[in-house]
Amino acid sequence: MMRNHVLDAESPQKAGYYPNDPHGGAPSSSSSSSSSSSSSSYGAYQNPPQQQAFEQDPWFEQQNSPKHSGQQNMPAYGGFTGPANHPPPQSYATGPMGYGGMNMTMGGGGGGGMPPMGPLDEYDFDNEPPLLEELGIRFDHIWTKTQAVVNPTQRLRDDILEDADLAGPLFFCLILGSCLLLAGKVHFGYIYGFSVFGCLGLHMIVNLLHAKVPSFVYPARRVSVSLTRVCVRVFCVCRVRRAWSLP
Amino acid sequence: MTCSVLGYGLLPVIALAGLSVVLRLKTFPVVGAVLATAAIAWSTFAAARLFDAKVREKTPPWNVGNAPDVSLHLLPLQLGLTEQYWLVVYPVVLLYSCFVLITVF
Repeated sequence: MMRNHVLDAESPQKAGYYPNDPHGGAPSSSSSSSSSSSSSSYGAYQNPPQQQAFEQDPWFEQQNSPKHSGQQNMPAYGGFTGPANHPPPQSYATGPMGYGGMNMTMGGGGGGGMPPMGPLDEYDFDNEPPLLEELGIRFDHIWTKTQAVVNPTQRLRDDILEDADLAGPLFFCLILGSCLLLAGKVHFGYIYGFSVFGCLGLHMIVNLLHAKVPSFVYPARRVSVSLTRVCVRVFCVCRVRRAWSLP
Repeated sequence: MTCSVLGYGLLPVIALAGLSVVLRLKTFPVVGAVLATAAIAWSTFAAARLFDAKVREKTPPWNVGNAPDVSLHLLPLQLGLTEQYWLVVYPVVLLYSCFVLITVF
């Protein structure tokens, strides 16, 4: 997977091939990467401020935005001199070498770059992603969704909507249980049961309201219709045989 | 997705539970009833709003434009659930009222 991104970064017209950035990055990044590999154009790349911490991370890029991983991983792996896991984001844009220099280094036969998810002998244990990000627990997403729930007048952003995590709800359920425990009521089982059956019921309702999702109702209805036809036919045949006194 | 939405909608109920630690809500029936109703309404509308936006994401564009009644909704919705909005709201109300009941009593 990483090899392909290195190849994408080598051929800059292919790097602009992906039509839209799923994480709302600057639309100028695809055009700038497709034009040439100059350091000033990469310096113009800007992210929304809260996604910036994740897009610097190699694991997050490899999972979520495959277009940028080939470009932004280059300084971290091309010139790493230590476990530089989260360098400040300004060092990429205004560093002495810039993106263009690093890109040339990687283009010329791989340089000192090392793929983060390679085979075992190439695996870099120093630059492993942290455990929380590997589990998909991102506290700033949880905090942003919390704000979106508490303040119902602001408009929901799409990148928050498509991230349906389970860590925040589990955390909130534990908080609710511990609050009730502080109030002298042990209701962990009730919370668990209500949550499970509520989730199942509402999942069924929402999916039945929007039948684009394949549901179990239509095959069941078809089977029941055909069974009803068979029963009616057998019943009619029996009545006719009895009425005409046939064997 | 449903678990995530319902769990995030639980936040006002958590606030009510945190309040019920310091303040015994059974002993102030009027205040307790008002706060419980407010918590149910708040969490229900938050969850229904998230559901609405999610459904809006999933709905293909040829099924969207059948004259949504914007005046029916009090909040800035994205109108994925148009006629079915109150049908989704009703079980969410029941679920959160269960949580609020075990919080208050």
